[in-house]
Amino acid sequence: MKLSRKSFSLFPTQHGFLFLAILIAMLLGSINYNNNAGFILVFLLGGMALISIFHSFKNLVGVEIKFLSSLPVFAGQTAIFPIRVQAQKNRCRSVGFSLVSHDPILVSIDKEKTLQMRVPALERGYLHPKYLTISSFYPFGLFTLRTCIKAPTSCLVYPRPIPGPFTTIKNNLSSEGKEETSRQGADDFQGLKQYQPGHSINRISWRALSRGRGLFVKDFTAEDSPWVMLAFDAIPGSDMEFKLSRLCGMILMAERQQMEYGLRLPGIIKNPARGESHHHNCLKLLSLFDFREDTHLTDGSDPGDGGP
Amino acid sequence: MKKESARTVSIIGALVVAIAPHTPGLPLWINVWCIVMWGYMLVRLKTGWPLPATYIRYGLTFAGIFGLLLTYSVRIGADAFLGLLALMAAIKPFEMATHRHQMITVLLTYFIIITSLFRSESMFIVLYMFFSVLVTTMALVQVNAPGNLFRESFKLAARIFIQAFPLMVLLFLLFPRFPGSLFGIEDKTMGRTGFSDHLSLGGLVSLVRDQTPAFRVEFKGASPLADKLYWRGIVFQKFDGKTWTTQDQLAFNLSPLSFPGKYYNYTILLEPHNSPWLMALDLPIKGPSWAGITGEQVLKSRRPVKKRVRYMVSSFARDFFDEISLPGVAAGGGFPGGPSSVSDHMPGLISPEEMAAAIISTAGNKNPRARALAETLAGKTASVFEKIHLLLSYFKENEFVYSLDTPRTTRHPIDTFLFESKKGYCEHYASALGFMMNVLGVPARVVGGYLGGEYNPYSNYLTVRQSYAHVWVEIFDQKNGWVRVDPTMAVAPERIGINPDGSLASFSTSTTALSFSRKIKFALDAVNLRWKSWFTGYSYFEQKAFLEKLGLSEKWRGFVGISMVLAMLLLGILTGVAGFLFWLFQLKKDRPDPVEQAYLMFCCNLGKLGLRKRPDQGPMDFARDCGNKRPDLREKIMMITDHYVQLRFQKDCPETTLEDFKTCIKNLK
Repeated sequence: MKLSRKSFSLFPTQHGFLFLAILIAMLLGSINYNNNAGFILVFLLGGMALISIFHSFKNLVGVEIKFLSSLPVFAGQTAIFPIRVQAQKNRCRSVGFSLVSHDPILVSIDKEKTLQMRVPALERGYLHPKYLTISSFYPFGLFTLRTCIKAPTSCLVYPRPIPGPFTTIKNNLSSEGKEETSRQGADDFQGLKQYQPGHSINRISWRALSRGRGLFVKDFTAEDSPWVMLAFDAIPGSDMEFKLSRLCGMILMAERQQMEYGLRLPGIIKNPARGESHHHNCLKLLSLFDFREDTHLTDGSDPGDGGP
Repeated sequence: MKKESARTVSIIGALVVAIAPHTPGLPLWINVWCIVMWGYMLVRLKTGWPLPATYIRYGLTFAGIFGLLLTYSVRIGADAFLGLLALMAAIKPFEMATHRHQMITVLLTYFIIITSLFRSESMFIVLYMFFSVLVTTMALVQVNAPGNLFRESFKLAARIFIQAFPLMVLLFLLFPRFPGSLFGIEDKTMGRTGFSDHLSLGGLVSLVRDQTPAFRVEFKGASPLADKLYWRGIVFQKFDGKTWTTQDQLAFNLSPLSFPGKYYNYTILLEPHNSPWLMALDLPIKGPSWAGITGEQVLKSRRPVKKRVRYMVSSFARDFFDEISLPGVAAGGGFPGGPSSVSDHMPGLISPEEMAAAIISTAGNKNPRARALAETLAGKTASVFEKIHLLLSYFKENEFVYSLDTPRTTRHPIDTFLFESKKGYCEHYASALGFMMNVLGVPARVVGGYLGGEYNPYSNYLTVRQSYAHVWVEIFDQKNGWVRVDPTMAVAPERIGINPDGSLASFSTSTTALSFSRKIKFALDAVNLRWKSWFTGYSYFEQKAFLEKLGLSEKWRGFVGISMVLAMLLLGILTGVAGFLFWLFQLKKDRPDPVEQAYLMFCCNLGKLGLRKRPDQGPMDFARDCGNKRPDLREKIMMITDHYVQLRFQKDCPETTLEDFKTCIKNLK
């Protein structure tokens, strides 16, 4: 995305107002004493301030921006939106970038730079910054040149994990549950496997080691491996967010313990499995459960003031 | 740290450059103070010394203000203000950690730059101002573009400077000037040197030692001989035995046209001297419109000259009176022309004897020995010129010396001069001669002005310095009117044709005979004169003339002037409004909207009941949570939250919802 000339707005900064006040005082003094050198200084400074606006434009017009995808975070953490900024011709100096109304990141762009825009993720769901404000008070700090562009980017925010023991339906007895938990693509039992770097330390067969047979890791069969079905309804209470947070905490714990886990939310069932994508899918389900875009209260509903 | 130090160095550099022109005018301790503070800041960049703690900074501020009070006590004026500026500029770098403070410091520096312009508007100062602006602007860029190299910042500052230059020239020429002062505040520091309205013996010595130019003269056409360069300024017609003062009433106005002489047209560029007298060669005939010619045949402005003025004069320089001023020339005979009896021309006026008595009427019985001497020397002869001759001969024959080193004035200063010290300069000789002539019943007045002028071969003009100040006597003769007699010439005839600083008062256009340093001096002075007449002198009238030259008619000029003023006003109003809006905008941003405010109050109320909203909770969760903990309040809380969600997210929410929302919150209490 390139910055176009049209969309800029120009504001004097508070220092710009101070400068103006000083200029007016100087002008009145010069008029009063008929001091020509004073006139020269006032007109010179005023002229320079005006000319500086064009340099500000020149500085900002060449910036090109590309939004990169951001990694999911948990609520309460800081979402990071990476953007790549490129200076087209000359060096762009002191350009401030800010998503929503957070303090701008001031950078000088020599050629290309990737910026990590940090926005606190307060609640689960999608975090849309909506606008990227690009501003610059270069070169004199008397005027702020500002433009807003739409930020076609979002960050998935998982629920805030609340740690605690598993509250779950294990090996569910109900026929419904049995059906739900029938697994697909289960591994065969292969007993112990030779340890190879990269295997989890949790799966090391300490018994084998103590018998002097070397390092082996346990390879769980589907039947033997512990697995849990994490269910929304199993958690007592009526606070949905609390439940989701607990589920999130349990998923993280299961993941840590290399357990297989499934997830049951009202209306959605995820069969037990393991792995990175399963983990992400489950957390995403939690994030977007009963999530309406517009009830998600981000503080970035309007483009904020990017000025200093 | 590196960026920071680059910034500190450039800001301190700008401050040093801005304060430098003031250094001679500031008290020594302030200079030392500045050097110490800035030195510390610069050294700590290398050594990593700590910044002074807050209490030390406050202590320094108080110490500085105390010092200022001691130095200037109650004389709170431009000097004290400047001292305060310098003090602040010295301590300011201690708190420059934030961008805001750096900006304020740089803007303060711009303000310091203009203060130096009110001291002097010379070309050097203006050129230096440009340099200073460049350095300060470089610091400004450095503050706003972290990571810039000095060279980069300087390049950019210089580029903007050059681009702004044409705009500056245009505005300078076209910005409407006003004939007077805006607030009536006059600069008291300007024009302190020059004649005042009274002349006491020994009072001129500071002027005689001042080498600054009093005025410059450019002749149109013929220029007079060097020994005729008597620039008349003030006529003193009253003597109280110690001090000569001006007196308007005692004027015998004589038409000088009946005497042989020559007319000269010339332009004078007069430095401000804070009094209304304008210098003119001998007898001015026609002066500028804002000045008049008094009864004593001197040019007088309506108002004291407080800024440099330029005016054209036509003068009539009399030929023959100079011969009288030279002793030894037989006086009394061979004065050509002139009315047979001046008394015919002054009907109803007092006799010369009465006038002479009036001039020294307040002298009482001061200087008794001088009175006696006058009577014994020339009491017997009736001829005015014989009397003059006799008195001048007395100076010559009694080994009087021309000297600036004279004793302090006494009760009878003329007696002291004539009988004890026997040395003095123009003032003493003129006073003594004038007094004695009046004692003899011949009206005599003392004239203050300048004698001579230094010719600049590069630019064809004369510079008359304060040191050329001179005082002589004009003596009334029935036949010839007021005749110039210069008694100093009796003692120091070499004063004529040679200026007090040793330069020749002659119009020689050859530059070959000049020494190198003198050539440079003349060239610089020529440039400075051009600067003064074309830059510093550019004011209301000059602007008018300039616009006329451009072919702008009166109407056009009025239009340009009015539109400029209107544009400035508009700009001022616009910026004012913009500032106000900006302020409002800031204010609004800080103030939460009514919905938010009411909701916050609701949360606060619930907080008092022990129901606190966790930061991770949304409004709905919070309401549910509260409902669980306080089933009795569930209904109300849910309603409030519903309202809140509606207000926040429903598209066309009826306006009554907000009121309902507020009422519900009130009812919760």
